[in-house]
Amino acid sequence: MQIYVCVKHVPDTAANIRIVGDKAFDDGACKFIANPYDEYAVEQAVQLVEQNGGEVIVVTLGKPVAVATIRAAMAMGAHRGILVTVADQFVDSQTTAKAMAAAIGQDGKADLIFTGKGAVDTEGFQTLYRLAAAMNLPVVNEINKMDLADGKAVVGREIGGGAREVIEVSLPCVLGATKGLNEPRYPKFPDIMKAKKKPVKEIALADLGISTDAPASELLKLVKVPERTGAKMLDGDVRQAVEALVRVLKEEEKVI
Amino acid sequence: MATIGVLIETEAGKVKETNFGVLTAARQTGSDTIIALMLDGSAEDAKTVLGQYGAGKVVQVSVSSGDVSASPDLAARALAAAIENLSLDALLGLASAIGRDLFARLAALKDLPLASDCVAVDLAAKTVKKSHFSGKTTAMLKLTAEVLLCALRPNAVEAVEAPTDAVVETFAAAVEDPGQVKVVEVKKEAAGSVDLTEAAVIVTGGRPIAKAENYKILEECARLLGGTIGASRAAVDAGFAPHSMQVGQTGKTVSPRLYIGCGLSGSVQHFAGMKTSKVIVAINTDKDAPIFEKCDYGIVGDLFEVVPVLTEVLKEKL
Amino acid sequence: MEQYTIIKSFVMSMALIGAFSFFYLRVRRLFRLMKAVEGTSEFKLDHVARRIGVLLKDVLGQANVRRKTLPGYAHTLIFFGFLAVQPHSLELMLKGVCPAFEVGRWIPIVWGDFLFVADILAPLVLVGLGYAIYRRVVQRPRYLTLGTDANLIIVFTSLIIVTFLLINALQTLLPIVPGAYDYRGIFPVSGALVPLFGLERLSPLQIFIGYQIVYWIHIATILSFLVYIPGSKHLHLLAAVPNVFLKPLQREKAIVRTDIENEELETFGLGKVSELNWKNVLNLYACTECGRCEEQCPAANTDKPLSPKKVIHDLKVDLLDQSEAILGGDLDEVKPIVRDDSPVTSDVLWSCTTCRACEDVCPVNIEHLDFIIEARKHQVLMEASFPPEVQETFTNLENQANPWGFGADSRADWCKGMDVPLMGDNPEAELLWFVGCAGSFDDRGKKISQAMARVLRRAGVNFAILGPEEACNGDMARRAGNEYLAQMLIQQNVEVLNQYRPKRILTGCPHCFNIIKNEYPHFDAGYPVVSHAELLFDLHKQGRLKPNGSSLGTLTFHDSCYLGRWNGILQPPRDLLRSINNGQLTEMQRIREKGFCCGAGGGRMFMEETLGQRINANRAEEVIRSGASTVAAACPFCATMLSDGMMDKESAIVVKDIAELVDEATA
Repeated sequence: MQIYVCVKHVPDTAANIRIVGDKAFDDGACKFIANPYDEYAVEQAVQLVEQNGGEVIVVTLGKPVAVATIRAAMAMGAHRGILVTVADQFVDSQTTAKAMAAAIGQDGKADLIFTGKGAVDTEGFQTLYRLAAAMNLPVVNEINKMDLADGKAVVGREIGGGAREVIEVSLPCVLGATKGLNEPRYPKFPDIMKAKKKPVKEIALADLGISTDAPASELLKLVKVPERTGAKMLDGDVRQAVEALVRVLKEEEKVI
Repeated sequence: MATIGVLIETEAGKVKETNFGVLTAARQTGSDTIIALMLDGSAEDAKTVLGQYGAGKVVQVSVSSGDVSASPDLAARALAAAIENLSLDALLGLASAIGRDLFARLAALKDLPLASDCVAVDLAAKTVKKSHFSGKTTAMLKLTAEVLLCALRPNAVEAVEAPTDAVVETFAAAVEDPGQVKVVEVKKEAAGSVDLTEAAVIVTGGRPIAKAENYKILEECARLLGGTIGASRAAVDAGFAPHSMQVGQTGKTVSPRLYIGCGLSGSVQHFAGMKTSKVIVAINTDKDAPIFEKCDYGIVGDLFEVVPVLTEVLKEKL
Repeated sequence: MEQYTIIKSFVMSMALIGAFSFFYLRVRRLFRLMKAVEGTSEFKLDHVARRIGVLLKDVLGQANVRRKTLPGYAHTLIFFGFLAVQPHSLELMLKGVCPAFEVGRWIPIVWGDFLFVADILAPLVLVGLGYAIYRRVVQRPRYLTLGTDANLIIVFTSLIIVTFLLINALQTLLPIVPGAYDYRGIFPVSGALVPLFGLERLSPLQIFIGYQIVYWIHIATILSFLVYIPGSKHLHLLAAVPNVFLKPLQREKAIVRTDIENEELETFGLGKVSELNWKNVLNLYACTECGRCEEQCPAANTDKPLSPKKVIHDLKVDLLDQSEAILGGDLDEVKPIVRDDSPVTSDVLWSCTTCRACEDVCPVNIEHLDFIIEARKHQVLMEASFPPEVQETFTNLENQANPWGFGADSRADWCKGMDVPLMGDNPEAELLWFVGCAGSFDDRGKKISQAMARVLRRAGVNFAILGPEEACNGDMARRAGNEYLAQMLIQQNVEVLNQYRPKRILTGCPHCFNIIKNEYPHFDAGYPVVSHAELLFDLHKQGRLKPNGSSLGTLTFHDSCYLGRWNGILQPPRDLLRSINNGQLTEMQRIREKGFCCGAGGGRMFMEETLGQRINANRAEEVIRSGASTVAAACPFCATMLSDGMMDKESAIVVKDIAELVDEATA
């Protein structure tokens, strides 16, 4: 099986984001990791290839330092990587999807394309749909269960309120993984070392014939969300405190 | 004067309350035509309540070639056809699980930009505000396209009534299903429980809840407030609650009007999932618990004492 | 008679040659096995004079064994008595081959005096053995292996002593051969056996036959024992002496720095018994299965499957079982230590808190930790096998340099609003205070750090912290077997430390203290380190901290394993506490080197404890029994574990770090 996995190089969710200017952040100052949802995708792909033979190819779009994320995915078992290099911090979903479709199309024929349900930095939750459309493949997102039957994949996803859908999707297809699909493995040390030597193909975005001029979705501003600075404590015995709370919620905050 | 469409979602045939905020967002310029679109449910039944929040027209979108609930691709194509037919300048909707999926398919189909999970939209300027970096920053994005697609985070915009008389129309979308994605089964677990991500009020229990049964205490309170219950990761890991109840970075991101956290330490990961709540109240026995630095109101006390009293007081005052 | 002597001589020669050859071959095999294992040891033979002193004191003087009083004295009696009878037994063997061989002929007076002493010491062996039997039959302590091996040894030894006494007794009744040595009057005890059993009433033939029978039994027993020793735990007779001679001379120890950057190496850590080094093997040979390690082990005491004694025994058995393959060079055939049917399971390995109680109490200086930690390294690095809840901790350490995953740049938030300078602003500070992860991020730990900061200010100490430049010291990762992650963290800190070249490093946590002091030098960062326990006591002695006279109530002190057992810092915190509490300090039972672990060490702070009783609950019970109202700790992890323990027992006993107590007492 030839499985492509799209993995994004994103700041660790625990890292502090330091805003620079109007719409940029100091990406040298925080720790970057592989997008956590994409790890479920890598793990699923590696498991499938371990069972059925084949190759797992990681595809990442990002600045040159993003190769670290490709190496992390390769330590989990991916065989090789493709890095589409860009100069910008933010590249919109449409451009990203077109770039990945081109890079994958150039590389080989995909039996399956996996990715995470969305990236924890831009939170767009749409790139995989666009990738699927660009490659003329069906797509199902937020799957936490997956089985392969002949010619199709049978997947499960949660749609809120405790309800689950069971979906059949024809192969090849694009699947977006979320928590619960599997337990991403911790890499063994020899695999971490081997990953440093596995091949990574670097392609500049421009070389794919794609430009970042005039994106349809443009970042205008980035501001830090102010943290709350401290609660107003309600004193007195339980009854008094609760009555004070209900009063303030009803009359001042007007939330009940 | 633009024509703004709002995709309405239903639950068991009824219009979800979270749609009303979206209608309010659609009405923001005051001069636009607001059209509510329905892929399921009955437009005739819904027209009164939708009109209450400003919809001038309710369009029942139907597809004869197949069942839209069994094929999200068919639903997306029907919507695309409706957008064209109605010459919509924008389509707003809910960033629920179904909504996010539908809007993304639509955007991919028509190669249009999409802003998903927004907390605000400016129709005139064609800009949106949404979270970047798991709630640490707010990004303002400008969308340039013939049709503005925007899925709003449930409860992000407060619903405001704007009574209008709504007329009902129908539109039969002549679209075909590519037939590659088929929903074969929908398994419902708890009947009629409000989804966390769409709840307006959430009462969460942390590890001190000590037993799965004890969530009943919180549930009573939540029900009175018209909300639902949630759990922290520690409680889920300890087996007191299922993962579907987990609020936080590795669980659900929620944005209720009111969030009451009982026995929560205030971990960064939990906060990432609920910091956009309008008002956060914390109840904890430790006066030095970090959560008291990050919430709006706090009560130092045992949740097993405080919550029942809260339920009592609510019964009296509400 | 002549015939008999000739036959006896022949049989004796054959027996001696046979037994000694067999013994020699078995021992040689063990020795070869010790050399055939792949692992390498960094051991260097140094301080020979000191080591000889150790031999004299611990082995000859039996000091090590007597750390447990009664069994120690019993063993001392057995040891000296058994040694004492050997020369005469050897003489008897050779005399059996050549009747003219009599040491007494050549050095009659010395020999006579020696035999006199030997004859007194011999029955004392039976006293010792009697106590041993009492322990095994009546007391039956849980940690003692009551098996065939031990029983056989008791039987063999008793038989040898009893026959020794009988031989001597009968010897005095044998006809005097002119020119031969005269044994009469030499043996005080054996001699008394003669009238006691009325042996003098036996006829000369009876005496002769009796003597020969006892003689043969004696020789047969000794030679059988000789052959038995290499395959039993009595191997310690041979291995204990070199093991003690080669023991580490200082208490402090460093985990081996695994050469993970070496691309030639195919495996890391201890995966198979063939990967042990010669010193490990010597350790295994030296074990007497006395069970003192198990008696002290906090895991074994709380029903975990881990027993240090069993680990050593199981590894020894595994090694011997696979000795064929190892000696033959078929190292690929050697099976891994942790495998389906092996007694060394994951639960065994991961239950260890690395408290070192086992190593500390072992009378033959076995280093149990070397096996467990190296085995963990193999499990983590090569198999990615470890308790699943630890994966997140590893990831957090990698991404944010602390086990909880808090943002690395918020590491100094604990001292916001306090006058705590960063090294960046005060690079010439007298003291670089390495706060540590718990002290920076843990709610309980932060309070301790804040108290410490106030105290340092009060005492006028010129200090600074690293703040966001500080990464986790690497202790948790290392003890949990993740050598790769640990070295990464260590290198990170080493780089920063070597930039600042601090004059002295202060640590608030014993884990930081231990690793920076003992393991960082292996990474080219050797700086003087002082623990907060010692520093606070020094400051107090210097008069820089003035107690305000407030009483801290009835205090007791919980020894931190990494301060006490690992580094010998036992007295300073006690003196400190007494001095700020009007001399009052209640002591619990399990204290100092025998202190009972809180359960957090060895990375266990971040693991679920599902087997047996919780270690911290066990300790909490002891704290409650002490009657103290406050228990002082010197480690943020101990403080957390004890607090949890108190909550569990619904006790009102307050848990405070010594820094917090000093802060209160000098405010």
